[in-house]
Amino acid sequence: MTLKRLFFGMEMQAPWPSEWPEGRRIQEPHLTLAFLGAREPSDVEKVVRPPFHVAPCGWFDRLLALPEAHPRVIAWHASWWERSLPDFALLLTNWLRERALFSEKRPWLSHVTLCRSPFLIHQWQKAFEILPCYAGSFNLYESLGNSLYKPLWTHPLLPPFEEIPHTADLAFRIRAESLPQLYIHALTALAFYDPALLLHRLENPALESLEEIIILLNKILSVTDREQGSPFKAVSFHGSIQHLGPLLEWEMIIDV
Amino acid sequence: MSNSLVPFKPGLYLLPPNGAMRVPGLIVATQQQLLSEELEKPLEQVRNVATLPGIVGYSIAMPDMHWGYGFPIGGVAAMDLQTGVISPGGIGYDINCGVRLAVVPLAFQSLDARTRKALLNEIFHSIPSGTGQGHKREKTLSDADYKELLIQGAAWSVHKGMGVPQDLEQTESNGVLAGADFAAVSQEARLRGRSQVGSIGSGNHFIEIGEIQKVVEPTLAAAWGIEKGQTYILIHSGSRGFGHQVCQDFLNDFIQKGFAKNLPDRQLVAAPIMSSEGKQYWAAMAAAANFAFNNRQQILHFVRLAFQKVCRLELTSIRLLYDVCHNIGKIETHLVEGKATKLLVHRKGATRAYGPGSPELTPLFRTTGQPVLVPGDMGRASYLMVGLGNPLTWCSACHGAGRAHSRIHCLQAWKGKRPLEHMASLGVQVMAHTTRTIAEEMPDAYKDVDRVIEAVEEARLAQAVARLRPYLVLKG
Repeated sequence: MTLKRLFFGMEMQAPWPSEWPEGRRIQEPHLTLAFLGAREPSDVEKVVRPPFHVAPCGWFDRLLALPEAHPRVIAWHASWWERSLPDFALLLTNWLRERALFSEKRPWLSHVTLCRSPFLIHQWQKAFEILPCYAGSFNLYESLGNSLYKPLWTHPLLPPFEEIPHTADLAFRIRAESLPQLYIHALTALAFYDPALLLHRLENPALESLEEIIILLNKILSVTDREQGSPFKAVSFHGSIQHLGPLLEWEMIIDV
Repeated sequence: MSNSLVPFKPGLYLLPPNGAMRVPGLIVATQQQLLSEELEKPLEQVRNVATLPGIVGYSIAMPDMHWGYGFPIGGVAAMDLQTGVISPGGIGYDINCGVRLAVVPLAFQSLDARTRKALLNEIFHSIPSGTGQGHKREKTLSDADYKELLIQGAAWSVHKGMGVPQDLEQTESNGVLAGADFAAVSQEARLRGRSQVGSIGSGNHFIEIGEIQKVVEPTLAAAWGIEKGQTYILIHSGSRGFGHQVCQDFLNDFIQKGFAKNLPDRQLVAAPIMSSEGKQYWAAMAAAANFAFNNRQQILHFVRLAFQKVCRLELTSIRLLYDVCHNIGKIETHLVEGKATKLLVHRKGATRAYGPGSPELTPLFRTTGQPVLVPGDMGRASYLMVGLGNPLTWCSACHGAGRAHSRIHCLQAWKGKRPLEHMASLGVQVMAHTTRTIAEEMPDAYKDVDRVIEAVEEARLAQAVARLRPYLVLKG
């Protein structure tokens, strides 16, 4: 028997700050979905996998110091544009409970731990700003101690966007499984450059075409430029949506 | 080299019409450029522009061409006023982005290291640059002032003490585009631009101070008061968020009204010039152009103040040579089949290059031809040229060197390296709010401006007068 301290989590991608307040930083930030304790990895080989193909997008919206009474870790709370990830967290924990592999009773808290004590909470509070993120892959991790974690296996997800070369301006390939998700992933791509866009985000807009997505992105960009300033001039009306199996792809070009 | 191009005249190649093209394409390039550069995407856009109703002459691309929005960057197209269309993509998001060149009565080499550093610092701290950097004023621009600024053009800033009347004579179209209408501009555009007049912006905008390194045409240079070794100021900026919003508003409007139907590229969307939509866009575009004229006028004023503070120069001793637009629509009179005809000329990343005799020019430039300003990159050179008034391109020339590499390529190329130190080793001091900006704007991001100038000269669009060498650069 090779018991390991296991947990399921999502690898997190974000435009992390280049400088951090003091504290024992977690080097590979992840979103824990379910902590299993000491288990055999083979016990969870057939675990349920995410029903989505493209990495879900969200944003860090507040600082958490946990546990509240005597904080030992600093974390950022992640909100999600869509229900797919919280629903998967529920699906996963139910699957694990049915097999007596998970017994946590508290509801799942969507958060990414960033550092362990000692730290100064007020430094972290002062430094916090809204930041976009996406959950890049579904992993089975082994906790090695000393804030070190090792993925034992990975279920990859497609990135929601990738920057592609464009001579004069900025360009991204945006991927999604629906039209509203195309908007979400496009805005997240922009927010990776300019997180202030998230302050003016519109959630659950009714969108029926690529034109409407572009017009909405530009509205958000306008308000951001007015309020905080933005490096972007506009999202162009370039391109059309390509249908690749269950996926939608769009080449978004932004004048800078 | 594209198989479709046919040599026409020195430095000029034709793209014969096919399919829906109403006119041929006219490509300004050297043979070497055609062999070595990837031009299919901009050439496709040249073909698309040639399908627009009312286009006269050619769909033109300059040697700094690259892929744009509907129009290629470096694109020029003239339209018949009655039957033609006006395309926001043919003018650009940054309406009246342009360049101005001023000369300082100081030999650049007489500025010691301490003075140069003080000058750059003073400019960096007194003129907002970079994302979100609007101008902090003691008083907010009133509605009445804002309206006047948008109608009067650069004259507004001069009347407020930010310049001299001669500055207006040395500005393309005297620093104002007629037909501006405040009512045609959306509330959002007004809000975006309100605090941004007198600021550089971001991206590839800059203020550059350097030395007139070489005089190529001594007679012309002397007529213009240009001397080897002289200090120059080069400013590149546009209409900021105001212009971006105007362009966006009308692209949205035109697309939603169906003007993009049957077009090969939605970004090419255009309305008939004489339609209410076309006239509204003209009125708003002119307002944005006038915003940009004021922007560059005010930036020069603050640079003059910096020289006054650091070098103890009189403000008026710093002379504006010329200010050109390179994203603009202009109503101009040109000969079409021997007849003087008013046309709407779109220049998207292209500069007007009137030759001697043009009635719109001031007496000095009517004798010589107008100055044409061609910024290169911050490590090599920029150029001062004189327009030759070539009718084939509706008296147009290039606007810059053109990018050679994408921003992501440049960021990866300079990752872990020290771009500021590299520039210092070239003798250039650079300031910007982010190192990202500097990495994206390093000299190797751009084509060699000397090659672009060669192409422009070969095609007889403009001729080099002086080569300018930058030493102090503030990047947006």
